[in-house]
Amino acid sequence: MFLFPKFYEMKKLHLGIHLFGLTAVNKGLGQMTRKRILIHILDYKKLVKEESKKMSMPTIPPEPHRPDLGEVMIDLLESIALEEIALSHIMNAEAEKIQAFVGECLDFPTNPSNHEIVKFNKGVNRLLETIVMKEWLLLKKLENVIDICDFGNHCPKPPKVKCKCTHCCIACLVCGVPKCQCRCKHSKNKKHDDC
Amino acid sequence: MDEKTPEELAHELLSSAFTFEKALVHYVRSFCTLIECELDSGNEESIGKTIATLIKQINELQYLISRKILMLSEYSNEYEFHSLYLDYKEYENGVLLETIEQIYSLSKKCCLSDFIRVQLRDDVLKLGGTLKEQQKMVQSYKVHKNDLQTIWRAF
Repeated sequence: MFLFPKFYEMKKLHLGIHLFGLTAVNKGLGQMTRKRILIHILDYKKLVKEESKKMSMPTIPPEPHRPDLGEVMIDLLESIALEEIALSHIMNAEAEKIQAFVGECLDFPTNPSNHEIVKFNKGVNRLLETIVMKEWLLLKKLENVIDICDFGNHCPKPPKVKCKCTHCCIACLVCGVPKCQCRCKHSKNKKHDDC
Repeated sequence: MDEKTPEELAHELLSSAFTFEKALVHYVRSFCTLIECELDSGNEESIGKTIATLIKQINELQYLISRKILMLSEYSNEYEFHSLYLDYKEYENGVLLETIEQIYSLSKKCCLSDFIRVQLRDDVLKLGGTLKEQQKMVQSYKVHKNDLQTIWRAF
């Protein structure tokens, strides 16, 4: 942040010295003085170059823990979920704002003029427009993250449980639960536990 | 801290998508009330355009949500997905389409060009189609409705 003023100050100084150097050369000073001035100019040019280099390359503070790809992906996916929840909170708040504007008895308790109602309408529409845009961005972000991390390959789908026993869809007479799921005392099909 | 599994993340994302859908339903209902009150107070001119924009944007939002849910359903646990849907359905229960139809019927009272009217009708039909598609997709998960695991996770 503090680089900017420093840089501009130096630029000014550099310009001043450069001009001074030129005028000094033009006015026909001694050779030694001219050399000294040129050395100063070169020194300042070097400094300015260094400063400009510093500006173009941002310095990232050292961190004790740099996350790996997996952690970054998890953070990104979590951020998408959190952003979506934040958006839903905003929508809920806007809905409550509308309800407050209309009033419980639907009589506009603040007695707004027509112009105010139209303005309110526009505001509500603008918010929805912003939310649509944000949703598009979130969807694109999600697509990109899924593409990068190959989300699906690491996600084992649960094996589909198939019941091997016959008549498994008949409910237990005591508890009404299908036989293969029944764990009650009276069920005769205790051996169905593993299906 | 334990790392989250992809399945857990997908579940989190799905639940946020359903939360958003719930918020959308709440919003649309409130907006419908606002439009009704505005019509009563005699602001027909500005409402027509508002309704057209609103339905278009809600249609787009619903499409985006459905696309996201479809994408995530591939990675999530079927039981969890269905329990989330059941929870949402209990809240929504066809209210969104009903409200949109109501808003569309209110638009008939406003002064609108024929072109915008046709567009409005198309948007409402599209929305219905998107909702039906979403329902169809969830139908495939209904097999697990009576599964104990689904019932437990729903609570």
